[in-house]
Amino acid sequence: MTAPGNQTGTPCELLEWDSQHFGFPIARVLGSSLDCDAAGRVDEWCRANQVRCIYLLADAKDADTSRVAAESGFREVDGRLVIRTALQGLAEPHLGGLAGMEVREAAEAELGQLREIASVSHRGSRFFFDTGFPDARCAALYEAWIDRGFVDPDRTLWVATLDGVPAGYHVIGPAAPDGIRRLELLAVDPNRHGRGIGTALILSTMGALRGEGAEETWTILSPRNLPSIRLHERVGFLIESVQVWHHKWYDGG
Amino acid sequence: MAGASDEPSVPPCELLEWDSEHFGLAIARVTPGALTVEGPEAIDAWCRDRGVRCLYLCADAADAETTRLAAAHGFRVVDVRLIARRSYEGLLELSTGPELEAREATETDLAFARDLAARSHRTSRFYFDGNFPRDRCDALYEEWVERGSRDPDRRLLIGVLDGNPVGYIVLTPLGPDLEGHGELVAIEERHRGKGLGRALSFAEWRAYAARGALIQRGVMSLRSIAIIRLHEQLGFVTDEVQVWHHKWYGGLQTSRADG
Repeated sequence: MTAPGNQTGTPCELLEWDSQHFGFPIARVLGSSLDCDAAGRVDEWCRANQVRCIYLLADAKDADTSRVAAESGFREVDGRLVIRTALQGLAEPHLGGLAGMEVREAAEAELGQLREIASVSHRGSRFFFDTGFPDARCAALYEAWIDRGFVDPDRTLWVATLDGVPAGYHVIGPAAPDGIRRLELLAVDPNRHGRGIGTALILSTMGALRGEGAEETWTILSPRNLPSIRLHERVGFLIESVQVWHHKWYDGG
Repeated sequence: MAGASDEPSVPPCELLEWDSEHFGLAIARVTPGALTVEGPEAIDAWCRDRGVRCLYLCADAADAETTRLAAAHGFRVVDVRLIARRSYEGLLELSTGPELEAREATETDLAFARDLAARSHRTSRFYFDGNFPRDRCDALYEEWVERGSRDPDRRLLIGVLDGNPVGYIVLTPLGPDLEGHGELVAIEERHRGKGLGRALSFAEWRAYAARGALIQRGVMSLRSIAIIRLHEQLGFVTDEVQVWHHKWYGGLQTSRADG
């Protein structure tokens, strides 16, 4: 068997965390393109490894991969916008008008409420969109992300509170090899949208990164999440690249 | 077969005459912009009755149900489009980029503009689809840019550098909402990356401002990163995200070998 993309490696890799979380084998196509031969090798590999769901992340401009993916049973489940901003000249957080609001690192006692917000705040993601994954496990994925943001020493979990009650969060990810930390997961309690909490959160976390000496940061958005796109554009993020997530299920997943 | 009384009172689609004539096959568009569970069957029946070969659907990106239904019924995503707007307040005071003359196209500019158009929009949904003949996609943009010059309601501006044409932009009519919208822009390959797109955009915006525009709208494919970045840098904020889906009936065109 030959592998897509290169002639020596395997065409896919098993994703341990995803597989364990959802309770069945999940893998990802190595590389970002697919031709007909590669699609066949991916199928062989997935069947040999009893994979139920395979992810493919392709460049949005790659029309050939998009066509081959569709013809071989992949379904486009989300876009992935990579956006980046410099941290110089950053505005101070606009907390005026939001009496009783505080933005700071989260405390352990707040995790429960933050998990509740997380469980209902990412319904536009590719996991919920796919419908092959149980909703409860999708929600649990984002709840686990909150816990990881708090426990992982390389991550930071920020909280916005209104009158002492958690109203939103922002997870700052670990530094990549280039030293740049990514902004990972941002949400505001759906009952408190439209009050500037998201803006205050993002300006606070960007300010914290600048305080650490960071010169830039980046994050990933879904094109389905218009409020988040608008929020990031308003604080100066610029689009850098666009990719597309495709999922394929085996054995009637 | 359904009787006449079962026909939906509002047709689920509309035939697109210009597209159909241009590509030489019947093309239609789903009119509501959203699908319901019952929708796809009625749409398929409507298309089969009229011999439609390709059907467009433009849906709100946040409408996950429509996207799921579309995929389940044979539509494929061919483009995602951002619509961003900005007030004219302060816009023309921003840095315009390099010096660039912009003037109305003359008859002698048309060959340049058509030639540039034929090779400048290769990431659009028509090419990305893979089933429209490539030469007809090229011709679509050639005709579009020429319409910018001949249509009395449109304008075709030519960007000129050192006396030579380097790009174009097509201006749509300014509607009662006083919202300006340039619909097609291109810069010659050897002049890209020099800020001329920004300079040409400012020429467009000055032209709209002179006609009383209050808001400027940018409609951009997510694959056009440079254009999106330009708008973001100048304070445009995305208002809508739309997903274009195409569905083919009765076998695909065989254009892949053409490209």
